[in-house]
Amino acid sequence: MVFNSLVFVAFFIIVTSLFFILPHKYRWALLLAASCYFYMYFLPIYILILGFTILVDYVAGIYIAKSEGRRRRLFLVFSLIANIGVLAFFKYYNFLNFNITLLMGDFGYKNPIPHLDILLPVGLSFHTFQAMSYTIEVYRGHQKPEKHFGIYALYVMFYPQLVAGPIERPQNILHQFHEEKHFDYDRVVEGLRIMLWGFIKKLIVADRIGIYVDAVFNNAHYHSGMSMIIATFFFAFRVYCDFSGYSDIAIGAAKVMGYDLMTNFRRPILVSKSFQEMWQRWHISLNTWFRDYLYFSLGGNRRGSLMKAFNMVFVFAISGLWHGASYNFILWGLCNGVIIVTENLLNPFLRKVHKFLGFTANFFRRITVFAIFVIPGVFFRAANFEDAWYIIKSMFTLKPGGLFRGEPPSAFGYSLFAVGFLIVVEHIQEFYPNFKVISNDNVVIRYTGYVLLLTLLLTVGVFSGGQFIYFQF
Amino acid sequence: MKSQYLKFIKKVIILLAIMFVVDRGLGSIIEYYFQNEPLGDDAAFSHAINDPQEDILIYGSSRAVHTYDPKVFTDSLGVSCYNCGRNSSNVIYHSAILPAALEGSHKPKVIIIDLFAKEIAYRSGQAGNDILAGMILPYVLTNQHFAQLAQEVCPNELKKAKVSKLYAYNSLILSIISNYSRRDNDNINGYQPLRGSKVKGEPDVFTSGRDGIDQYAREKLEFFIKTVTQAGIPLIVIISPMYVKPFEDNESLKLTKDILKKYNVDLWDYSTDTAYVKQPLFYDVNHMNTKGAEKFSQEIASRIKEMGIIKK
Repeated sequence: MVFNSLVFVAFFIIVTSLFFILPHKYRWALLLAASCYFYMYFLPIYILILGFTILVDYVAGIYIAKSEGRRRRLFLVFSLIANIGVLAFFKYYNFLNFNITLLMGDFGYKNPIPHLDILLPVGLSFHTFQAMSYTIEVYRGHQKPEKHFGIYALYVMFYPQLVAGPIERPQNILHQFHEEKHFDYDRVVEGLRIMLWGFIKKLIVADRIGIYVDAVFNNAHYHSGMSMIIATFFFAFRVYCDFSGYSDIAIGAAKVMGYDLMTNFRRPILVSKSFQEMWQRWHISLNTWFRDYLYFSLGGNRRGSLMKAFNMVFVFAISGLWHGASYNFILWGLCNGVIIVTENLLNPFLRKVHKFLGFTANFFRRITVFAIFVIPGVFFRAANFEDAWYIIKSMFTLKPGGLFRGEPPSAFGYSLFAVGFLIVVEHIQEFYPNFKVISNDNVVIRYTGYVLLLTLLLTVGVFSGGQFIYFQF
Repeated sequence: MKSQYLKFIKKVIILLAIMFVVDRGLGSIIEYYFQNEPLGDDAAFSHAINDPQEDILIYGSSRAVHTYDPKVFTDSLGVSCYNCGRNSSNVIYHSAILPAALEGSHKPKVIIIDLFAKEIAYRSGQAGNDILAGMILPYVLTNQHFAQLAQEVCPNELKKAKVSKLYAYNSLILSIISNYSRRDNDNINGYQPLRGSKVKGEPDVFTSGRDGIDQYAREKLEFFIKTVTQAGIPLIVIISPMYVKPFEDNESLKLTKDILKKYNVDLWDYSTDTAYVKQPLFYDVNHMNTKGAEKFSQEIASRIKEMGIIKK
């Protein structure tokens, strides 16, 4: 079930109403049943995979807590193998097999391992990582094992964040399922406002500019370098609004019921003044996951500058692979790792440049960071390496040809409006937090804000944009 | 807690009530301006949909829109002519706008329909329906044929348009503003000229139309032909030239020919006519430019004249 559908609106209203009608002791069962239904709406059979890993991790959590020494570690390894094994099979089997075939072909051998037509379970990477964080935290002693199987299953399956995060940590969310929640008017309204903003990001910005981006990227050979530059910039806005829009809807839906999910994005675009800041604001739940469980485990920045640089590039490359089983994603991750390491190296020099630029420094830093950030995105979006390279070459050589304005031409106007609207609103949210419209104390301003936003949704929103990009991960 | 529930429900009802009033009010304003656009493509589409009163009416996709110049027909035949074609449309759309031409006392002297060689091939599923929904939605509240069509091809969209008037005019505000502020009309009685040429090299190989038959489109093609012939109006079915190499009839074309045969209607097939498959006459593979459109319109007008199809 996708958030941007009438089915979800009905589902949300029914589940939330029942949630507040039912006594506390039955609510976990309602949410678990609703989450199962939500997941099974995509492909019912895959609930069995989820059930398998939930069972393994639930048992592993209890035994990790009971055991000590080597035995304790053994249960953790057992859990991690089960989770990574499922992920590897469904997501990386064919990628690996394809590379084996190529390698064996080079030496004149035929690969006997068959290609399998596997459909990736929706959001597998998200709930696998969330499940892994549970057993790791129990192993590290930061989290007590959850005895209630239903509550543990809900921790992995909680429908708002089941298929595209935020990837939660057990310390943040598990205890909330035990707490009794009451209908709190202010919290419900706040949750709905967050959801509304999420829908606006998805329907007005992401899906609108997605039409232009798809038209250019899917037919790159027919477009000019300038059109590709614009499509590449648009793609950054698209992926941000698509994904952060989903996160907002998830966070808002959970908040309505009284659950606080972690923040996943903090307005990274044209606000971040460095790449480090950009990645601290972008997909926070995944980046902190990699930081806490991989980067620190590799030694982080404790083993000298060279190892720190290697660790950073390595973690970014793995993060790329997490997004998809293709060299394009690995390249995307590698590029980002190299950029952030280069920024660290250049920092003393950059500080002098910023000093020289004076009060204009922040403006130029934001523009520069964003302009460089969008380039590796070509690898993220393009269908394959050849297309990505062709697009990058065409951008930098300004391949001749007219500027594509979309079909119909008014589409370009809507896209510019959408991007401009997002930048203005997010800058106000970031730099003028006291300037409020839909949460203004004045009822006239508040309702005018609601009506304007809803009118904008109805007149400019794209309602046939389909799924969220991150569902494929 | 009960008071908090009641407070929430009360506020939701107030917001919905305000939104309903705004939706109907603003929706009606947009509807008025949309239906009365003075210039531009939407004005031409609205004319074709609501009150086409010309003697020759031409239907078809973008290939009709960019190929048949009504002025050439009027100059050659001495009767009025309107190009009712629409970009990205197919016979499903044409069959929905046809009844407007036959209602009332006015009766066209000739109806021309330009078909694509894959006219009734499978419409690429949901994407095809989304395109069609976008075209018909602004008219579903005012045109019963479109409401009927929406009920058949996109019932959910029709429901949304009935709930929200603003939704029916989704994504149209910029084009309405632009059409009211423009001075020149690049849409001449439905004809949209394409200047220059993007075509390079040898003609393409035509491979479309092999994805099976869209039964709904097939029914609508038959409906179109049957309706026109039963009304006693001469019907001319044309496949206009494409910049492609000669090709064998695909499944769509074979079935189209069978339907035409059933109703004794000839097909004027110029799809790979060597007199036209020349680079200077084409804007792109599927569309003729102004030069090609003028030459082809003259040919069709002359043929109509020679055959004495128009009875004065």
